[in-house]
Amino acid sequence: MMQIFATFEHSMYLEVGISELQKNGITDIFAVPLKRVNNEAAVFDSLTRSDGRSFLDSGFALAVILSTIFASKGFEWELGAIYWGLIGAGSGLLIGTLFEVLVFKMKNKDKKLRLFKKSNQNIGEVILIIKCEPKDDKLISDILKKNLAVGLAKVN
Amino acid sequence: MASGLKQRALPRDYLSISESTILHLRKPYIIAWWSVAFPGFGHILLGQYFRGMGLIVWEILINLHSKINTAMVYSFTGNIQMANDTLNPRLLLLYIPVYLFGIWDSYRGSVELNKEYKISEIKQTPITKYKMNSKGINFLDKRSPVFAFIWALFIPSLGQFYQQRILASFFTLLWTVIFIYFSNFLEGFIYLLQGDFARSTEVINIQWLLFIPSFYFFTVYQSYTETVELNKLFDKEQAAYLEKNFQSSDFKINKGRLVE
Repeated sequence: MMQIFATFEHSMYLEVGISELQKNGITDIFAVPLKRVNNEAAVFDSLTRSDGRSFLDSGFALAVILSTIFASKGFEWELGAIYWGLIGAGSGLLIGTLFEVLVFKMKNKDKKLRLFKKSNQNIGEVILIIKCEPKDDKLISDILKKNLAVGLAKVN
Repeated sequence: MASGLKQRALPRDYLSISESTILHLRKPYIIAWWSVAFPGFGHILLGQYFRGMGLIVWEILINLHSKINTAMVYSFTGNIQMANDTLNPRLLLLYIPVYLFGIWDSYRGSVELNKEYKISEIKQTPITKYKMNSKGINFLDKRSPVFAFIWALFIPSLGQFYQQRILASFFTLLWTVIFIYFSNFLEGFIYLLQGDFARSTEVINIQWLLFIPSFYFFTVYQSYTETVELNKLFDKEQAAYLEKNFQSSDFKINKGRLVE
């Protein structure tokens, strides 16, 4: 008997993969969902990752205030209400987000901050261990790869 | 899950065909802030849709009748006399208590809901993944927060549509159309693009235009943050499913060599 280790991100592909394995008679499967340990934060969360921090709260709050005030003032200023409203919104969003980023930097000097999550850092959120006959090895790794396994290893 | 415990806590989500109501942590002061920007927004963020929509309709109607937006513009530009002349005092005093109530109630609501969330999280209460009936289908899904953000930027309401929040989506779309129509926003925008600033300012209706900033940014904000929270819920549900079905105690790990 050999064992195949694979890591996955949380997604429906994982469940599709498990179902395909089961359909092929491979049912001895062990799964370990991992708790996330963060040492990096991103301003924007992506589809597969969110770090539980929001950097956009103050930005949106300020965007609403500044766009309302600037749009009002804009009725008297040269560029008009809409342009000033948009300028207020953009600058509010920028200032507010920068403020949150600065606060984060001051509080967490050891942590890195990016705008978006780096895609090559998908090291997996679930470990899957599959017990199988050596002859099924190819079939299983094909199914796992097709369903977006992030990492793969085989142990005999 | 401790099996001896009696379950007496909120489930962590409730799916219907037209809405997905979910529990997650909220910062009370952010909720209160959105209620300041527009009464009802704080409640919508908490998932109290009926309270939220009621307050939003109330705000729009009484603001229109009392001409509060117009008076705000005059105040910001220093025309205090014109602001006072514009305001219609007949219902004005009704506005203030409800406005303050909305802020206070959404703040305390989020504090209470956060406690409920913590209990639900400790007790690992159920997360519903699927809902299907003759009216349609809804399920927890992985969605991209960035796309929710971008779609909401283009047309308010598409972010909620993406999240399968159909009622909220059409509610938002309806008001967007009304605001755009009565404020002459697009006409003013065309004059702007042509460089005719004076004409642009002239055609725009101040009273209606001032509804737009808070409404617009709220839908973008909600589209982004709620998509993130829905994704987190998907992860939690999947982790619970795997732990329940794929952790047999007689599974032994091989200590052989790494083959590949």
